[in-house]
Amino acid sequence: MASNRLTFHCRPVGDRAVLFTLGDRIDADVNARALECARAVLRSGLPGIVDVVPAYASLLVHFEPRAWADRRRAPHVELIAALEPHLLPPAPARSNRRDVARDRVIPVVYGGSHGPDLERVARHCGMTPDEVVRRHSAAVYRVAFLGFAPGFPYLLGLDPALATPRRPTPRTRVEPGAVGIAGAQTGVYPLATPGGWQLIGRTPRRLFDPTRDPPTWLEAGDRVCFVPIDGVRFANAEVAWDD
Amino acid sequence: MGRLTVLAPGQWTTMQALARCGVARFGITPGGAADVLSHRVANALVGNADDAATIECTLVGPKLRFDGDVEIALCGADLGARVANVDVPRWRAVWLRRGAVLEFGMPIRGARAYLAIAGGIDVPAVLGNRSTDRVGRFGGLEGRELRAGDVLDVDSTPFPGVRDDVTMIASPRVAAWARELDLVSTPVLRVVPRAHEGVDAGRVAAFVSTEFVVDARSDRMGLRLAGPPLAGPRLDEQVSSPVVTGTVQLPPDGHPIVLLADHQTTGGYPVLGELASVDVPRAAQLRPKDRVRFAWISVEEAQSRWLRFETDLALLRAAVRA
Repeated sequence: MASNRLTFHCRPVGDRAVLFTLGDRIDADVNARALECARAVLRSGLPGIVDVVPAYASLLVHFEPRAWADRRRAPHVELIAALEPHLLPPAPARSNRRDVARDRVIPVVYGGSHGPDLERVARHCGMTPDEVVRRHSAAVYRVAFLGFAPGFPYLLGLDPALATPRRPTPRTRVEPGAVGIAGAQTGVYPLATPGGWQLIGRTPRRLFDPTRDPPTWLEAGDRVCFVPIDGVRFANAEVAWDD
Repeated sequence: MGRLTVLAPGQWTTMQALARCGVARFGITPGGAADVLSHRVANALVGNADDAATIECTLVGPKLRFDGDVEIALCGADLGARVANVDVPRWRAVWLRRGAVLEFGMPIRGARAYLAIAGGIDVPAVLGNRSTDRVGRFGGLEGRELRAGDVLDVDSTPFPGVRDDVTMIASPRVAAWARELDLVSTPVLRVVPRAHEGVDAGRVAAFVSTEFVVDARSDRMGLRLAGPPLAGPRLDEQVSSPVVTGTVQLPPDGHPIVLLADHQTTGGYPVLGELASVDVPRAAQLRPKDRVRFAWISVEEAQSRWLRFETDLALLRAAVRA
C-alpha cells in the first residue's frame, strides 16, 4: 500500500442514494477500507442517512432527499460534501484495523446427505472428497459483505483449487445452513431458497433471526472458519446464537 | 376494535408499509409497498401515519368482511372494488358499515391497490416495520400473503345513524395523484442514467428508443421486460454491488429488469440507471402485456419532483386534519 489515502469516486445512484467506489476488483484490503468507510458514515450522525450498504469495493449510502434539500446545491451534492471528511482514513496505522474483526466458527457436516455435491466438486477439482473438506475447512475467510439474502455472507479466501462452476440447473430448494461453492466463491445459505451452488455440507448454526439486533449472526469484516463435525452431532446440535 | 376476515385471498395480497431502513446492509430487502405513493396517500386520507400497514392487493383483489364500522381509503389501481352492488370510489375516505363485504371484480386499470383502514392494522412490527418480507418469512401477517380464514384486528370507527353500506366522507381532492397514476397506454418512465456501468453506448441509446412489453414473470422483485432485446457486444458480469429499488439491470439476454420493492440487495448485472423515485409507483402499476418506454432525467430534476410530492403529501395531511 503506497498511499495512505485510497482514491475514490462518487456519483449519484438514482435520486436518493450515492455510491462511493474505492476499486474495481475483489481485494481484501480495498474491502476492509470499504467497511471502515461504512462504519464511519454510520457513526457520523449526519441527518437523513437511511442505510449504508458496503460491497467488495464500494459503499452505497441511501439518504432522504428532504434532509438535504433547501440548501445552496442539489441534495446529493450537499450530502457528498458532508460525507467526504468521514471517508478519509483514520490516523492510526492500518494494522490496527484487523484487531477489531470478530472470529466466527461455523460447524459443518460435510458430505453425505448434507453435502450432495461434495463428490462432484472433488472430481472437478481432481482430488478426494476428504481433501476438499480439508482445504475448505483449513482456510480463514473474511466476510466481505452481506447481500443476496438475509445474512448471506460473501466470503473472501476460497482456495482457488476448489473453484467449481455452479450447477447447470439450480435446485428448487436448498436447505437453510447449506454450505456451497459457486465459481471462486463459497458461502452459506441462511434460508431455504432456490439455488445453483454446489452443496458440500450443512451447518446447524442459525445465521439469521429477525427478532435479534443485529439480525444476522455474521457481520461484514468477520473472520470465519468452518469446522467439520459429524452427522450425529448435527442431529442433536442446538447451537445457541451467542456460542 | 373491529375485525377483518379474509373470505378469499385474491391473487397476491400482503400487508405492506414503508420500506425498512437500515437493513440492506444485512442482505435484507427493504421491501414495503411497491407503489409507495398510493400507500402513503391512502394512509393520509384516513388520518394514519405513513408507516401504518395497508393491504396491498394485486390484480385480483381479496374478499374481505368487516365486522365493525370502518373508515377506509382505497388508492392505486382500479381493481373493480365494490360492496354488494355499490362501487367503492378510490382516492377518498369512505365509510363501510359493519358486515360489509368488500370484494373486487376484474382489474380495470393498473396492477396494485392499497387499502388503508383508519387506525391501521394491528400486527407486530419486526425490525421496526410492518411490511411483509416473504423471503425472510417475517413481518406483516406471519411473513406471508393473506389466506382465506385469516382474521386481522383493525380499529372500528362507528358512524351512528348512517344506514348505507358505503358512504363517502368529505375528503380533500386528490385528483392530481390519480391522473399521475392512471396510466396512458404506453407510459414513459424516467431514468437517472449511470455512466460506465458495463453497458455500451449502442445499448444505452437503444434503451430509450425501444418500446418494451411487461412480461408475465414480473412480480414484487421486479418488472421483466420483453420486446426486442438490446443487442451489442458481450455483456460481462460485474463484481456484485448494491442495487436499489428502481435500478434497471441489463442481463446477458438483453432484456432489462426494473427492480421493485422486494429486490435482492446486491447484483452482478450491468446497470443502465435508476428510475426517478416518482416513477417507481408508475412502474409498480404496470401489468403483464402493458407497453412501456423510458427516457433520461437528470438527478436534480428527479429529486425536485420527489420533493414536490412530499410537499403535496404534507398539504394533503394538513387538509385531512383540518
